[in-house]
Amino acid sequence: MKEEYKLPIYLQGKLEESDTTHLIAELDGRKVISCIPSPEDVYNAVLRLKDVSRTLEDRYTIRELAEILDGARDAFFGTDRYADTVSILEITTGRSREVVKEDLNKLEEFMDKHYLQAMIKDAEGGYRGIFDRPVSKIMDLVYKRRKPLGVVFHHLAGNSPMVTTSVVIGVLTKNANLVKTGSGDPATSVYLADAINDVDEKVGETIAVFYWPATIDGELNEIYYRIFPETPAEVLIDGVACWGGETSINTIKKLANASGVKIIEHGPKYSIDIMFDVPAEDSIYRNLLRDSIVSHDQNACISTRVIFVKGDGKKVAENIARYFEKIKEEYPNTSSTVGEVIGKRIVYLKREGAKIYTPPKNSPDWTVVYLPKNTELTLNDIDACMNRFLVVKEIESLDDISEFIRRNNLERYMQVAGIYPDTYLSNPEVTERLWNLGFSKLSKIGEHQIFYPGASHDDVVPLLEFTRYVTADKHNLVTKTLKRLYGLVSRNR
Amino acid sequence: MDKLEAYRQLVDRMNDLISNEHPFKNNHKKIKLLRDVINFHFDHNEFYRKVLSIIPSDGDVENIKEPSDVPPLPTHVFKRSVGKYADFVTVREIPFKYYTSSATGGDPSLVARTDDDKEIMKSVYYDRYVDFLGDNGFGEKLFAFAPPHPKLGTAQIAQIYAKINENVPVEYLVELDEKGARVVPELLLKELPKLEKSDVVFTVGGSVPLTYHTLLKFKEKGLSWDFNGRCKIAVGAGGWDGVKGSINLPPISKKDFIDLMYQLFRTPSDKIVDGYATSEISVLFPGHWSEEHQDFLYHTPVAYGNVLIRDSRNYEILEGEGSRGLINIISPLAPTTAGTNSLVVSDIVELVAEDKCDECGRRGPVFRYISRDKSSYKTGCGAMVLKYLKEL
Repeated sequence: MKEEYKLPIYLQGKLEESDTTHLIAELDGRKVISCIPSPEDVYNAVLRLKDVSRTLEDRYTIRELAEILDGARDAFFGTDRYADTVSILEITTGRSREVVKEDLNKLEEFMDKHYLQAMIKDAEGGYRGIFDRPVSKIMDLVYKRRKPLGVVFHHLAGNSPMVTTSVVIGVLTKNANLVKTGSGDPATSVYLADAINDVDEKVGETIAVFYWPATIDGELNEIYYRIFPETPAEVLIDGVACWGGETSINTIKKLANASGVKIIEHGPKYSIDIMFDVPAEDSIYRNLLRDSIVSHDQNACISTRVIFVKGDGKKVAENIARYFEKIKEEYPNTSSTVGEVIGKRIVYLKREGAKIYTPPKNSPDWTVVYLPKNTELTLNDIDACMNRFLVVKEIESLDDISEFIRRNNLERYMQVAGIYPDTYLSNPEVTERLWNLGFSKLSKIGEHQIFYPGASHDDVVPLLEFTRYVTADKHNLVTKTLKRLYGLVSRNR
Repeated sequence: MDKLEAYRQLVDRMNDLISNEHPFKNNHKKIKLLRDVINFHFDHNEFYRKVLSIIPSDGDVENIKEPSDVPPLPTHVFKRSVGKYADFVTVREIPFKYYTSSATGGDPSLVARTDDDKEIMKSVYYDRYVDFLGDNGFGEKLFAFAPPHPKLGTAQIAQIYAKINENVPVEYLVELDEKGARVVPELLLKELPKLEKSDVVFTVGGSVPLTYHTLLKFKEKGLSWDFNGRCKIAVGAGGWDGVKGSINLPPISKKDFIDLMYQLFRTPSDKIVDGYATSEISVLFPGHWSEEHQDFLYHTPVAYGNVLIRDSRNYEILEGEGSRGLINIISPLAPTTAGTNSLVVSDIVELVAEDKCDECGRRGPVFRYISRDKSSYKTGCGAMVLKYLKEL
């Protein structure tokens, strides 16, 4: 295993090194260093991306791009690119190799051409080819078309390689893509872009991937002001997809708003699970822990923070504790620190009715806290639930969840609610209520991370967000008649 | 024996340990006292007993044979935001005050101390500085880059200056007002020329950033004095990154600090002392400059303290010179507040010597400071809800 990883810049077909480097992370003597661009380097990259931003439109259909991305998947996973990415993420996230691989597996599933094609079909909404040419049905009054935005700036978070799906969607929708990686995952996008270039150089030309520190000596990096100039007329990018925590997103939103650039926003959000009964199946607990707790260290918007249980919450807490102990062999926890865990556990020692479950010898690997019905849930409880720390809150009914979310004005921060049993997913009384509380995606427990084609992500379908919807009026005998029928054209015109 | 009687006996034994002239022969006494103090808190503090049931430790406090047997707690538990500092107070029958840290990160630690704790801490701090300052200790006068009546965050500095004041007059060079700390260097500028012409031995010190940045301005004005080693420097409590409490100044290179003191006062590096300390513990670790390491080497006062290096992920003890990890400070000198006898501070240090300093010959573990521990709380799109709502 290497002692030092030096990450290059991916610049439209080439992996390049710069004179300036930055130490991103150091763990047990192993280092990750990244090449850093100058503001001029990034500006020049944006200029070149602008030049090539329309080239993919004429060359490929969206389905052909799905094939190319599927090929890039093979050129990334199972190769040295993947091996280096896993090793780098071990250092930058502090997570175990097994957890990092589990996270990356989700990206592999996402890039499968069958999945991408199913996603395209759903986004087409019955208008096959809408991403490639104007389309229209016989009774339509307009030709419909989805055009790429142009140059999209992806400002990625570092909490999971899954944010790289943003770049995949950017390519699929025929945009040119400027990517800024996060310090938690500075590698996946660089090596994936290189893999895409191996499969098709013309697509590789439309991507540039950099890492740079967001601030220098407490001041925002000059690079941002080159991407978002004060004068809107000088702005070269056409959209920004911003991922991450509050500080990062707010910074990008302010810059993008001032420059008049379209914003596609992902975060910050919170997810929960709701059990209307105590699950007896082992698979429920296993999937729950692997999908929503272990992956990302609960540090993603789709991670479960609190589990609400209508029924015997203590039984659920005991079961989860048992499975936590089992799963730690398969997915070791290397990112929790004793100080952080004790600082959180101690808060529950005098909480009314609380029961704390810990591993043998009270190791920091995991913690489950049971809170009874009569103990009020607080925002501190949500904040505590990170790095395999879970609160199981017993409830009387959905009213308790509703009251908690409304009391704290959290509607716009809610993301996924996992539900057990699944039958409640088709119960309008439950689904309407949860959607009204702000949740955008309701799923089975243990499937927070699975975005079935058509599933909402932050209230939108991302594939559509990366495009402009444009139309041209139709003029033929059918539409002429329809327009008259609809009263859209006066008879004497 | 009732609780207060047991407390009094423990305080007496602590004072005996500090004042003993042959501290290195006292290891047995120290361990026995450590065990008895832990058991005192265990017996009289229900919350402490509960805490031991959730931390990675056997919790077998009756069989403490080594400092490493004492269950270690992170300093996190005394943070104001955690809200449990009051539960750690074992002795409530005697008046006490909460001592605070400098709250650089906006979340101070709060640790209860009675007058007995205060006297113990004063003695330890004073003795450790004097030991490292050499002959004449602080000398005849101390110019302190510290406020005379600290509001918050400088409780320990206040204690050490109070103790010094019993023997040496202290001139305070910092005023506190609503806007924060303000340096008033006029007195020092007036006195230095007079002291240059005398034989008086004196000390300048206090806060690292205030001392350095004020004296740097003196140098930039072309000022310098030759005291021929009569001017000693005693700073402490961190702040080398320029940030301490409400002070926010540029970072300081330790080598530049050493060079500045020579250029300005002709003070050689062996007359410069930097103290490592934390607000939660009554022990000070004085450090001398090392040319080899280009850093201060901090020394453990083995008569009443021990140091272990622990892995932040599991608190396993890291042994051997060169090992790096969180510093765990263990000391029996904590009669009032449970949990402060073995604390793991969020500072990464490197063990330079296990038993004896190669450079000065003093016994005990020697370490150097590396950085603050940044391993906890990373945030992404599932960020901290409270922080977010606060910022809106």
